[in-house]
Amino acid sequence: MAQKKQSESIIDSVYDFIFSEAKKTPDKVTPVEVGDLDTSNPYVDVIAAVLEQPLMYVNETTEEAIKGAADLGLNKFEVIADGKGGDTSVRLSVSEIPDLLNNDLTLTKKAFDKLEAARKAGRMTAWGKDLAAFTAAGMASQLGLDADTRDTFLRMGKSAEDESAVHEANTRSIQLAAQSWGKGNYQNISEADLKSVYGDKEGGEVYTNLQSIHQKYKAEMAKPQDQRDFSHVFSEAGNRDMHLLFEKVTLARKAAKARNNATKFAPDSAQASRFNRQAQGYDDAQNILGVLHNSDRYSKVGGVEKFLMRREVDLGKLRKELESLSKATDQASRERVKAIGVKIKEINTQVRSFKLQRTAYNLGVMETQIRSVQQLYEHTVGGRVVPAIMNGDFFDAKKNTMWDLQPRDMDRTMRLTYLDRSGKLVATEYRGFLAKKGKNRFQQAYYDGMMDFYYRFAPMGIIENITTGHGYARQAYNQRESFIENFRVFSGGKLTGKIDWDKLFSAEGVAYLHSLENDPNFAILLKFIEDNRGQLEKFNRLTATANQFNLIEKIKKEITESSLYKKTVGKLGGIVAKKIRDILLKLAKDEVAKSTVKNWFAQGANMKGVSIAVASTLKSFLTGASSAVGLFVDRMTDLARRIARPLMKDLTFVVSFALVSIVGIVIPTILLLSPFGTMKTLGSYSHVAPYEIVLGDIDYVVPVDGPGFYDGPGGTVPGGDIPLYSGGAYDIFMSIASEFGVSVTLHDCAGSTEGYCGRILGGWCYAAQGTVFCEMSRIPASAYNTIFRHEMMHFVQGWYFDYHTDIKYREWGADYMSNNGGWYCVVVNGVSMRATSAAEVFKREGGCTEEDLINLAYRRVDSADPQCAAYFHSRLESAQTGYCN
Amino acid sequence: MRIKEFIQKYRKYILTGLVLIILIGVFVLILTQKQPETVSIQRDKKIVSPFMENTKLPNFTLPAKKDLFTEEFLSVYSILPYKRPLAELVHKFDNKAESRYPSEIVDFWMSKSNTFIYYKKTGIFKVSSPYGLPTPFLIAGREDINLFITRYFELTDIDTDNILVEKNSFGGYTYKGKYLINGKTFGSAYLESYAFIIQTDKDSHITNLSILLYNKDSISVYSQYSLLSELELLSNKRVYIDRLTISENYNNLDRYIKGTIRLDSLDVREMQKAYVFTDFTGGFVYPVYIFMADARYKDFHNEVYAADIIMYIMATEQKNISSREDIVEFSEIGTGNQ
Repeated sequence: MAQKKQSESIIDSVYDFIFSEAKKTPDKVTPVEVGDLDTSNPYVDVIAAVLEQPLMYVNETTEEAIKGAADLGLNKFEVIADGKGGDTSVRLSVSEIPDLLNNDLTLTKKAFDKLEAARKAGRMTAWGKDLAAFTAAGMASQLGLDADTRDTFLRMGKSAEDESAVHEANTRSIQLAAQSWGKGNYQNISEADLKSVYGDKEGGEVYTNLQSIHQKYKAEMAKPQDQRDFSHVFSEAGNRDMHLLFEKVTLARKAAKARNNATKFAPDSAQASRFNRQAQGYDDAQNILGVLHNSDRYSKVGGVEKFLMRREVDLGKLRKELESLSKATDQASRERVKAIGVKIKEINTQVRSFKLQRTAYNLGVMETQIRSVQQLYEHTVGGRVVPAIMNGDFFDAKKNTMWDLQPRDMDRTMRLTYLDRSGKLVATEYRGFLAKKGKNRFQQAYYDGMMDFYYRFAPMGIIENITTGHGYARQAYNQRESFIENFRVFSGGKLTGKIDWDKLFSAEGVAYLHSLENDPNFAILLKFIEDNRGQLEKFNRLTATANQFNLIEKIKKEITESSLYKKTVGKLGGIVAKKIRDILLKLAKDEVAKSTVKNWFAQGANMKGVSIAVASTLKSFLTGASSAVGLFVDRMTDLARRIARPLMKDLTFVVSFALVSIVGIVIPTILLLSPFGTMKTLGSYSHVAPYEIVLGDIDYVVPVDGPGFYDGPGGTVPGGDIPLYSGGAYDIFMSIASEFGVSVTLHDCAGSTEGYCGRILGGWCYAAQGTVFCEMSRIPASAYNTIFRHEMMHFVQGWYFDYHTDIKYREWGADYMSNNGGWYCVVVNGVSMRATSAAEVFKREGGCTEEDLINLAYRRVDSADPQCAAYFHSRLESAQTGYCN
Repeated sequence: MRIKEFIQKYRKYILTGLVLIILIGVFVLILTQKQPETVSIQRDKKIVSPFMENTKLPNFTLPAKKDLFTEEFLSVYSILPYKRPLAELVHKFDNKAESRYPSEIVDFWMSKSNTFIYYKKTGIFKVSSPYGLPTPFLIAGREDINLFITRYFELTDIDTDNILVEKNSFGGYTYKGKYLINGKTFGSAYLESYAFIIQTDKDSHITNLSILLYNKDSISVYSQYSLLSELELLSNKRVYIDRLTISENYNNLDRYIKGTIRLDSLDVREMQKAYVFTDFTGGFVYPVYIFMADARYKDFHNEVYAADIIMYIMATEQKNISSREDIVEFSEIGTGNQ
């Protein structure tokens, strides 16, 4: 007994800790490393997950979701007290939404209420039934409900597949029945009411069980007291539906008792208020238990899926029968055809309704998951989570690295194969559409769910799908996983490990099945496949569809394999590039866009150039549209570039890019234009700072007037303890060179465009081969100390072997060590800032020390702390001169 | 009888025929024997110096005990990056380690107790495991190093006889060793010229590991260059300096000063000839002289800092090796990216 008390106090203190953490902001919570937990506790992995990722699974959103489920208009039991502490009756209060979670839906006036109920159920059990039960139990504990109620939640949250849990629940149900039968009047609950709670089939069974128990109970009660034997009376109470009923009645009884206690105190007193709150808690608990009880139906192998699979089989059989009857002319056959038509229509309605219900549930799940990560994301990564999900940043490991929120595994691949109609093998390898491997099943469910959401609902995911087929490949993958899981349940786990699933779900599938036909060990698999052929066919259809949409890869392949390409690459490339240029010029509405197009095509249409030209043109073309459209165009262009980058070169790129641009940018933009049409209040560049075009992750400065239009280095940045030299430009330059120990010279171009001076263009300096070539007339004297120090840093960076990297790292380093002498604006975690401010982010978020940052600035990457180096290179997105947004 | 007569009658022709047949057979045999491939190595192929010119490098003298190359020509070797997936390797050590902060520069994994990083440029893979790597493999001596590197990294050309073993402050040992390339030892300029540095704790668990990873099947001779004379060696300013330690007063400096302290003098304690790899930009293994030296740095206020350094100088003539300065090219302000 003492042991029990101790464990109860431990779990209460765990709850106290978790719920106090749940009210904090992400920066105030710390993941708790879970060590010595009692592994026999079925909730051990739940507790570990909650403690290891605070605020993810238990937070205000999940608590609200549970409260939301409590508000559902479900059927509740009421206990009518006799005024002497006993019950006079147990009454079922039939709500406005009967058969809410049980019967199949038909599109009646209550359909929307039912869908809302499914959504709320999804919200509550978003992280899994056991996590919802765990949270509900904690809330019950916090609300002051008794430990028995808390344990009831925990019991109800256990999996229906857990045999010991089922046994435990059945035993408990029998005990509750035995304890309460005499006080209640269960036999008077009507069959119709029970059917409305449990559904037709299960409700009927509950009614029969109650009547049977009552008969046996009555028979025993009729015997003399010393001859009564109740051991066999309540056996029918031992099933999960009966368990729910007795738990609900027990809760109703507790609610009645609390309410009765409240009446003993003044209505406004604290005691009355406490008892009333408890009473409400016990009432709400009935609904929450009901939702938990029903949530299994939405699982991958739950009732909804099973129903849909069964109906698919039924439909298949009916269609076959219809085919066989199609030529029959006798009356009986015609009657049968008519009956089949009615039946098919009926099944279709049911299937549609169940699918709607499933979608509503899934939306509820996503709602909780997204809102749960919202606080974590916005507090740690920065930026709003919903736009980040919509534009794909959330799924970008470079941009979303905190708290393990990013769900996508960019490296995992999957090869999908099928035989086309001519029997030719089609094989495609897809990369980056699978979810990451989670640390636990809750995290795994989250990762999987987010990836599904991305391809179904996020514009970026939809576009990615229609240009690469990744979304369909993901659906195919889900079909496969669901099939395997269903078979595991169907076969009781037998055989699962012996089946070559890769082979079965491939072009070799049919041959593989044939090879198993004579092996009796696999008969169960063949039987399952026979009954679920539709799922396999769906997998194959999705595989083929994914391939159809894998446009970029196909175009690339077709072009590179064509003899025309091989013979006339340069010529055709030129023609295509010119065509694209002409189209963009026609679309461009203003001079900025036109000059951007001309400029980039004159330089040779490289990938970045074309993407800038396309983005600029489209925004110009969409003049008058909202800033959201402009931002959307940027994002689409960025996506197109990102997709195209690793796949293409030269002409292949140009052609494919054009296609990706049209599919990925023009079409969605046109689609999006109409809803935004009423928001024409801002110009096409309204979301962009003056003189800048924002392009995905690159801020590109348009040198309209040369550098003079902004303050320039040395002008406005507060100085640090930077050594300052006096004198003319040359003196200062040589002093800094001497300080660094480098041998370089300064050359004033003085208007010349010869040699490297020609590369300065509208800028200030160009450095090469031991000389810094500058247009000195453009540089204010106040900037000499910082700009020359910045330039000198580049020479020193060259001493180290990590010099040859993206210039953004070098520019950040040169600016960090020159107090922003190059006037660069770097983008870190999507936020634009000066190099010195970025250093603070690297220190704060990446754990870098100043010594690490100096090493990174010099490009001595190996000398910096590994985590700091990794964070720095992952989070520094770009560096461009000019203003910061 | 007739046969005997026939042989006697045509004996000369038969003998001549037999000799001819034997000769032809020998000739065919020689022709069909696989000829050993003769690989001609082009001398003085164009290459960029791995080291930048430091015109302010103080003068120094060679130590009494000199270790100089004696070959007329020295080879520069070429190697390619490691081929095996690093994630697999990491998960061999710690299957809970997760990839974090991906970038084009480094791959990084971490778990609750271990971090792993692979520097793509320099090919260095580092493991930090404060509580010891959770592998059953313990390092209790030189021979274990060989087994460990072979088993986990599948790199086999280890100079096992010359692994340096030192006691460390964790109660364990630090092992430093090199790879073999055509009988010559080589390591990384980022690992004090070693190919691996492994630290263990008192229980022989690995707590820190740094190792140069490369594709062992990719080694080839890139070109050969004339040996640098002793005189030229002292005047060669193309150097790479790795500062191992520096005096305490350096820590109090502002970052601008930290970045610009300059080498004022150096006193070479020891020199070695060696081959070192720098990075996969070129992917070359260069013959170099390594100087272990006590150095003195100064800042622009003439404050002095004592340091312990390693200096690398290429051991080949520089006339056919272009300057590293040529690769430094950049523009500033308003001209956009290159």
